Amino acid sequence: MASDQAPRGVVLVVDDEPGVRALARRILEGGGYGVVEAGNGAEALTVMESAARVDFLIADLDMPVMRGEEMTRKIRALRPDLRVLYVTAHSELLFKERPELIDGEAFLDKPFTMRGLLEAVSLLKAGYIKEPPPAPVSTLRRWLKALTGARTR
Amino acid sequence: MTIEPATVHRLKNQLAIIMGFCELLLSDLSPDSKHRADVIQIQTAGQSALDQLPQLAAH
Repeated sequence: MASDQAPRGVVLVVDDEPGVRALARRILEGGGYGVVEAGNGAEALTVMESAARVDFLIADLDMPVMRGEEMTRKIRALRPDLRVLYVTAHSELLFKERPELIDGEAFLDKPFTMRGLLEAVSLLKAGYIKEPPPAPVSTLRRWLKALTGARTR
Repeated sequence: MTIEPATVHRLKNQLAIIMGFCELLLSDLSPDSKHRADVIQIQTAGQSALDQLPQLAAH
């Protein structure tokens, strides 16, 4: 990302594995996004309270200290508009804890590809555009699934 | 041999990192780079290990 350009959005990447955070940062910065990181849910809450701007949350579900689902629930209480991408190797775990994803939430299977992550974030962003011409959410979900393997509910 | 689910999860994460950085390297390397084939070897081995993980998971 060129330093003189405003980021397309700022993403908070929460994962207890530093290598996964580093990978996501490289991919997202290459796609023009700003990135902030947290190693667990408690850190993420602190970042949310102190960061000047966060537009997207990328959340691992299976983390120590505070599980991803609990973290997201607390963060969403502060920022109901925040768009959330769950990145998980255990999508069945996500839907056990959250039978229904709400608008502005999606999930992406881990391991993710460079293209998959960028398209998932981009489409999550597009899915929130309220101005015309809005594509039906069901259409966005089909695109997301077809293009990236990411799934939304 | 079986592996506990938590260990499988950690291994999957590590392999995901290896695979992801291979992909980043490949996107940066020129098409005729002499390193491209090496990175593809790493990526292929990583994918193979990833594919074998479910068979090693303890039930």
